[in-house]
Amino acid sequence: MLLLNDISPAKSDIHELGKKQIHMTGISYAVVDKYKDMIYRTALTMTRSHADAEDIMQNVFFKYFRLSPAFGSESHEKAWFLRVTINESKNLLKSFWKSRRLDADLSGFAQYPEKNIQKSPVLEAVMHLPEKYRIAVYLYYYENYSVKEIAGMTGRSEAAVAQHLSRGRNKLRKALSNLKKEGLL
Amino acid sequence: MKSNLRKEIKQAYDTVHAPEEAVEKLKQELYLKDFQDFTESPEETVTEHTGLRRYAGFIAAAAVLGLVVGLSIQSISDCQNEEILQPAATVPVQVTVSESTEPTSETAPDA
Repeated sequence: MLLLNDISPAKSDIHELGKKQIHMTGISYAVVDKYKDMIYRTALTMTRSHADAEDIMQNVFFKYFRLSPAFGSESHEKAWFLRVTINESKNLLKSFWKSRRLDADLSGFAQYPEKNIQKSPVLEAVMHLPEKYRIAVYLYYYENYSVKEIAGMTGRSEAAVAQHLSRGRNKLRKALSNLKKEGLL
Repeated sequence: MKSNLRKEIKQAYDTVHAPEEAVEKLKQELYLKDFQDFTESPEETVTEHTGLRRYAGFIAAAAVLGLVVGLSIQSISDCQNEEILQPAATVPVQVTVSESTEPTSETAPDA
């Protein structure tokens, strides 16, 4: 059984071709299974599009595979994946084609059937927040990162992240209380 | 209220999973990438191969530049070594001599 921490593709013995192939394939699949949902959720939160989230997930794993970075700990590895996912999402959103899309457009989020995601009013309320608030709320409440860590990942100041979190939280609470009044929650 | 919000967000996001088809497709592509990297450069280390790829473009450009500069220097030195043809000091000129005219010659008579 290959242990993730014991193996680094860059240090594999190049002369043992058969073993290396098994090493590389084993690592790729283990990492994919471990982080696929986290990367997909983060990318979906950033882009609000299932198709884009799939593309970003692929790009992130290709990058991991190509760079073969070494990590000191599992938390370091997780933070690397999140940072790369956020950067890939930002790059996609900055592209010419995507910048044409309105911020309120949720068609990319709504188009998928519910086979991999249950219809959730709370999730839809989060998806209606502006991008800066969405990602802060997701990383804080779901991934349990601190404001300082979120600032490091998103490339924003701690003060800005704290503000986004506060505003996002207020908007979300307002939206959820309206949903409760309407009996949808 | 805070813990309710965290709980609600957690429950909402727990339902979000990467689509199985997309994950299977990704794994297949990673496997193919593995195989291709192997068959293309089995004797090189991952780090060396990565370094060569990174600098290959730079090395190629430097080689082309060196070739162009070398050829330019060569052509300049060829131009400098060329003999510049000077008009001959004496050019034989056909002179028709008649009794009425004094013979003329391009060359100055000996003093």
